[in-house]
Amino acid sequence: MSKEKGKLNNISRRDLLKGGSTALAAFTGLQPAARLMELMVKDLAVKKTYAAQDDAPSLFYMPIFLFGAPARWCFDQMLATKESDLSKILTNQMVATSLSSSNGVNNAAVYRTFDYKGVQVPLLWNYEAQTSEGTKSLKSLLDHLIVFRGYGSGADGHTNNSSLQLSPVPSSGSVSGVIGDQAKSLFRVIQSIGFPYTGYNSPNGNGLTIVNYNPNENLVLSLLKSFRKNPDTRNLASLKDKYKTNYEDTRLVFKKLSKASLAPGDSLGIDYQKALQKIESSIEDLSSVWQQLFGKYQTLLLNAYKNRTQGITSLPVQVQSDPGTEVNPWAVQSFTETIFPQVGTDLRDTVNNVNVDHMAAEFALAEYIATRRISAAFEMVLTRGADNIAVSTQRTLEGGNLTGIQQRSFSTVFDQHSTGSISTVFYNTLFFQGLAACVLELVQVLKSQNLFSSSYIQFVSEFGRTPRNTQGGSDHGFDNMISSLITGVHNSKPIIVGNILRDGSGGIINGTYSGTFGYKSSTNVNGKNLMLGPASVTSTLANLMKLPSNPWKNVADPLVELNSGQLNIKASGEIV
Amino acid sequence: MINVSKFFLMRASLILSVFLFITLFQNCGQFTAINSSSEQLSPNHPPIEVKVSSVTRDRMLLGDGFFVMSVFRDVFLDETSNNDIINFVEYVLREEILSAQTEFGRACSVFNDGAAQNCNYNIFNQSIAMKSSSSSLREAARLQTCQRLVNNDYVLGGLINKVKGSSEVPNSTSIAKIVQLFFPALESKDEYVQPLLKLEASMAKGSEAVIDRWRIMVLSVCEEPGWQLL
Repeated sequence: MSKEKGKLNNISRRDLLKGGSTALAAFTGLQPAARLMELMVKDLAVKKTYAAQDDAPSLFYMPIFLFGAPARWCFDQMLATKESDLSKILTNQMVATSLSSSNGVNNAAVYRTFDYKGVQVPLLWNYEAQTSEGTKSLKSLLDHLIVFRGYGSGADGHTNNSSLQLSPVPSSGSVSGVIGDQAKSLFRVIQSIGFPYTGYNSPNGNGLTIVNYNPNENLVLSLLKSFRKNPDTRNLASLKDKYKTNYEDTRLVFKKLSKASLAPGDSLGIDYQKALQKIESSIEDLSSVWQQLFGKYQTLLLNAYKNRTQGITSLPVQVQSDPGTEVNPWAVQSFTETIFPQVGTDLRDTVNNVNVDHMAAEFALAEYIATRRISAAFEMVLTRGADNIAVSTQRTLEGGNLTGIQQRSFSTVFDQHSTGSISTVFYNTLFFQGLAACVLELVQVLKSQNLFSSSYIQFVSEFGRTPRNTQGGSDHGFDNMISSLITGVHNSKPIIVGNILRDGSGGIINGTYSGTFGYKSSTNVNGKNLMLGPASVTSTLANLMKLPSNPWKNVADPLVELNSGQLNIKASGEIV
Repeated sequence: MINVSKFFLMRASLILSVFLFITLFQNCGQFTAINSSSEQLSPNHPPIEVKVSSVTRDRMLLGDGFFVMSVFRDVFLDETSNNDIINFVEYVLREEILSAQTEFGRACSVFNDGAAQNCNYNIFNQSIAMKSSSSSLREAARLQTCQRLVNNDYVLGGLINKVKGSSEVPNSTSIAKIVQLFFPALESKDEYVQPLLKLEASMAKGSEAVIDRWRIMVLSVCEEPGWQLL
């Protein structure tokens, strides 16, 4: 026994394989000819299985992670959703959807909505995008929108709350992980950058495929790199092809001897065949495909920035004064500092030369994956909005003192602690109208290919934001979380579920934060008053996607249910 | 004195009881782990029903990224390999296998010098699978690795020197050696050597260059997915 133990402690690869072969030898008792015949029959069966296999996943799921958690009141964190709710709103200028003006210049942030099919929605949804099908209003997305609000985790932290959103019960896996485990597509789950905080978790232990963004890189080509036909090995391929029959005969023998065929369904053999076929088949011209897709989304995004705040104002957004560091509504948080634009700056001019390539590349990749159905899920991760926003500043947060005029170039940062009220509504409106325009384009393409009815696009961030009373920024909103879904299984008008408190200051530090901003309240679900958590969202997703089993059902009931093609709203969505 | 003795006696009894209790459970654990059949257990032990989990049957045990890279190194490199060959092999492994590490499972070791790279610059990377599973992308990456390594005359030359013996062309002995580099456990030589010899004969008949005949010989074994199975 000690000998065995010692061997195990010093086991080598060869020992391990040798151990396996003993069992194999016992298993294979047939004579060579008979065994070869059996192999051939089995190989035919495998090929048939492969041929019969429907590789396209039954659904496409795309969570768009906005890591850093931007303020979403101007977009999908809808507060007053009924006309009668508007009078209930307790004002905090950080919680705004529009700008108001005096003397021809915008100088305050305000909460304004318009009616869409009986639901009050932020003004941003009026934006008209120049899509490939012509000018289209973002309003058409509202027919497919389901908003989850008024839920929380009770604890602060970017990474833990980010992971919680789509993996609220670690042992149950994450939404993408569960979907990927069932997929037979070329990829199970693809993620746009190696980002560990999406909570990706496969119950079967499957990995995901990561595509890192690099400027000017064809991400589709990067994704399919392993399936490329390598020009360096072209001669090798033709030589192999020349002796194809003999070459395949050797495989039949090895397949049996190496026990690859022992596993039911021979998944290894099928994956091998799929990889071989994919490499040998000529893949479409990825370079022109990429240029077309990337260019399309780049134009959409640049138009969104060029049109500035088309839906909310046409007046200058001019810095009126320098009220100091903590109470400055024009302040902007960058990755390294807080920037206080120089008095007289029109914020609209700061976005004249923005760079939107990162987002354009992500959406180009998304459309490729979604329309070719090569993966069941694509986790798009954005850690910033547009780059190269240029501004003159005369004060830095570190010193707080006035300095000489300096030029700054920054990106739209999502963790907007010290982005003031006017800057929040201005820059976030630009970002979200661009984002929504891209989603609208993608949805149109999916609709044209009859794929939208099984598509689910979710806007996710680790939490909502909690507005400071000073107009000088907003902090983490781990008890006023927000998530929303655009899906083809829903087609009528916006659905908003989750109760919120009218006065959000009740649960947190009084005097620092106040107003109506989406703070959680108990919600009536199936007749019971409950506090909602992230599992309420994942449980709803599982139901809407008709997954074979709902891993979150025991933790939380779905807030909206899909039964026989009919959506039933199971939860309230009130200001209380 | 009597009280003290009693005290020690009680302590000794207590320690002995705890020791016996722990030992008893350790033994049970050992029996359960090592003997898979209830017949081998002492009659005093309750019979144990041995069930083969469906998970065990349905899932193949695949080597992870480290295993796969280690096989490639074992096959294509040895102590005579020069730096150029080593660097080329490592370059291909990095480009093909490491870059698809999440497909191979558990390629992330914080104890490795390249921890940052292996773990995608995050040692808590949840995106890396804890188990290895088969996927088309994994197979594609492996096939590309085989093709690139075999296509390089210097890398292939090193391997040929390892197996050729006195014959300049592939024969049954050298073919068996190639197979055993990938499948160290295979014993029924004739069964797998015959089809490879047939392939070699048809290439010889086709007047293919000797190095190309070796190339295809190695490639046909390398591309076979089964050597990844544990």
